Amino acid sequence: MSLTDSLVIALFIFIALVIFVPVILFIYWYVKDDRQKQHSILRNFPVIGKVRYITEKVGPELRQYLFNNDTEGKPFSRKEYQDVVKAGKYKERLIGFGSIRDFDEEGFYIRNTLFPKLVDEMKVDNTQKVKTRVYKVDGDNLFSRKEHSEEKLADPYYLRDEDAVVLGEKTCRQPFRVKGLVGQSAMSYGSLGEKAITALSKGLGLAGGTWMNTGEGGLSQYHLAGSPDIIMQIGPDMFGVRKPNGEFSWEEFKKKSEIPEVKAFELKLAQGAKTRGGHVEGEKVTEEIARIRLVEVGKTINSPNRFYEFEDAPSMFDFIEELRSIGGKPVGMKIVVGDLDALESMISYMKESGKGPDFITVDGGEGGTGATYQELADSVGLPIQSALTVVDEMLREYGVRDRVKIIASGKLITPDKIAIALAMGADLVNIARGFMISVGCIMAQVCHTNHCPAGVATTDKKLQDGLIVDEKHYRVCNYVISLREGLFNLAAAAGIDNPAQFERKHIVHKDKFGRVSPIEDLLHAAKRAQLQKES
Amino acid sequence: MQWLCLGLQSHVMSYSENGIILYIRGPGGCFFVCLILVLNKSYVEKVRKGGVSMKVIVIGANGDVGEHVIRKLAERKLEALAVAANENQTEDLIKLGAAHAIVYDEQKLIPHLQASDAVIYLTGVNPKKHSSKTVMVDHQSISDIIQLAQKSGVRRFVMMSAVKAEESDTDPSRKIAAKDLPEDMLKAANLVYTVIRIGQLTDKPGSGKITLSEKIHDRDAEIPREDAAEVLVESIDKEAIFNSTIEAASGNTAIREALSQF
Repeated sequence: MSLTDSLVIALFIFIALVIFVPVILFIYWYVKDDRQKQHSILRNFPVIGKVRYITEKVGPELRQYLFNNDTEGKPFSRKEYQDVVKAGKYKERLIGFGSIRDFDEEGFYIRNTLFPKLVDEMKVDNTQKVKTRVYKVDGDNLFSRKEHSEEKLADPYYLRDEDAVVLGEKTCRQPFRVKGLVGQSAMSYGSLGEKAITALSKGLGLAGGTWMNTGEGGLSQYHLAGSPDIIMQIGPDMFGVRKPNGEFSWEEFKKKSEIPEVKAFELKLAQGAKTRGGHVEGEKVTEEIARIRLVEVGKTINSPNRFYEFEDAPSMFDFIEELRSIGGKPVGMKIVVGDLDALESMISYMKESGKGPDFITVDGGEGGTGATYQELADSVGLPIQSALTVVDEMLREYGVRDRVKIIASGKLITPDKIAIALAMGADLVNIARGFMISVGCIMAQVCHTNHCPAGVATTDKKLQDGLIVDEKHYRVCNYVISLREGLFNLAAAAGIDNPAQFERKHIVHKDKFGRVSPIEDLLHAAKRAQLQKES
Repeated sequence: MQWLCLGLQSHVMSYSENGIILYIRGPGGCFFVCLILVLNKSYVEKVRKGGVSMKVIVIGANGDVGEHVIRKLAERKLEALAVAANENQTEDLIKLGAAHAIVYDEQKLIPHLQASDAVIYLTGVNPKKHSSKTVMVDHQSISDIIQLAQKSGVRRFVMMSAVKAEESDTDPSRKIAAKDLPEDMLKAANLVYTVIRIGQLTDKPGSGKITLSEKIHDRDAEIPREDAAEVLVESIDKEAIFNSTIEAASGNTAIREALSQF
């Protein structure tokens, strides 16, 4: 065979590959699309119609990286996301060339004073340093960012002992004293993987002055890995404190209350994501999950959307009394505010009976990590800005505000938002998704599928391989310290010496036309709405 | 007691931290060595147990390095009197382990100085301030403290300075007058002084290891605040560095060893 011959053969093969293969593929797809009965677009426009499905699929990523501007993504904008990541990674919150907030829109603003507090005058406790690691950028080029991580003795920004917030101060044998105002909101083991829970536990334990809420999925060894202070949540399904038949187990409860890390209990009446009962598929109930939650392996669990143990405020308060007297630790409840009448009758019973929870966690109802139904997340319950002030005011009206602490949650992931919530009446603030971002969440919005690409909201071992606990736990620590530092900055600007002093007078609401109104106006509006409902 | 002990040692021997004789210098007789061994050992043990109530007054205790100094003193069971800039900081200093914490007030300082065995003075000299920056140290206050120390009879004076403090010597602009004036004032005073010039301070955790030299080659060398504090605290009784100016940055020698062998 001459050289020409082989060249000709090579040419034929080349043409076959370049032309025939794609043509055959095209015909195959064309016929397949044309014959299928599911998608009308593909039937009418075979092959080319696929573009629609492909771009739809990668749309969220494209929007996030390319097309949305930094402030418009939901539930969190690119900007908000980056604020959390940078605080965790670099322990840095500086920006240049001004804010990108839209000042024409309405929103809350913190009133600064003419003569802020000096750093030296702040009531902060930095005596115990925290040994963490932060990243330092060595060089930032188009295709590579060189950075290294280094150890750092960081100031923890604790509150002074006398300013610490105490849950159950007068009611419990073992009150829960917390020297920071920010903690981790309820996230169960199962909805997050063991690596994410471990990283959170270690990071929060390292930072100190904060707490970790177990979520209703029971207390696992992963929650205890870093010995943080723990608020154990109890949902209507009683995971971790139940008998095999689903009744409440006082014996298990007592065992849990004797664990030193467990500082308080929280009854979950409702949460932002779910104003409904939980549902766990049988295949997800592994041996480990079954052991932690005290349920049967492999059996589907359908939880009620209300506790069987109580049906109204008096019976609930009796249950709380008993939990407190057996556990010796504070007991609170988590609610989503909707109907103010029901809330008011409960609070009036608090006054009447002298009983009640040690803390009320008010969730904004925006939905968080939890897989939930769209209709519940989007439209049930009031957002936190409306709910918080109402609860605070109602407790004041009935003269029971001093007996109960309010924990607020609902997208409060940066210091300014936290400060505004504190001023509206919160004593403490819970964060869930901010902490997920700090352990690597990229907001892929697939928490419900067990396919989280960052290995955070998944129990899949392979996906979790991406999450390195030792690296991420420092980010959790840095994030929470950084939030507390930010709160002290804001407090100084507002002329108070620590962020626990934030009151209504420190913030205002500005509307679209630049008119400024105090928070009390919100209250009047809420009351008016309730009156209209009644009449 | 400790001064006697330290004084004798200088002629006869040096000692390891366990109070064991390493070598004998000069014509010390057997009896003398034994005596010193006893004295020395009992002193070291006393310090360990907190028996010798060595009192150290720390001026500028509220700063980043000061906090570590107070903690290190407490760890060594030395009685620290912390002098802070304002009332708000005193609570923290007590929490860190200071026996007492007071607000800086020159009029009231004498009795406290009289009750102290040593002074650690933390200046605000910052090695990051390059030649373009002017002096940030309150010379008057240093001068006053040195006067007061002499008057009250406190013998030992350890001052923190910075590696770049001497740059005013060579500065042609003459605009950064006397960053090292405090050092000169201290040298001229009748005190057992040590000036410790530290490198650029960082927030890294202390490694416990340093390099010590009369002049450190790398003028931008770093040192964690925790280590800087330990150098200051360890310097108090290290006779090798009495009446001298030394520079410290991160390195490979254990702090105590570096100071003893200087």
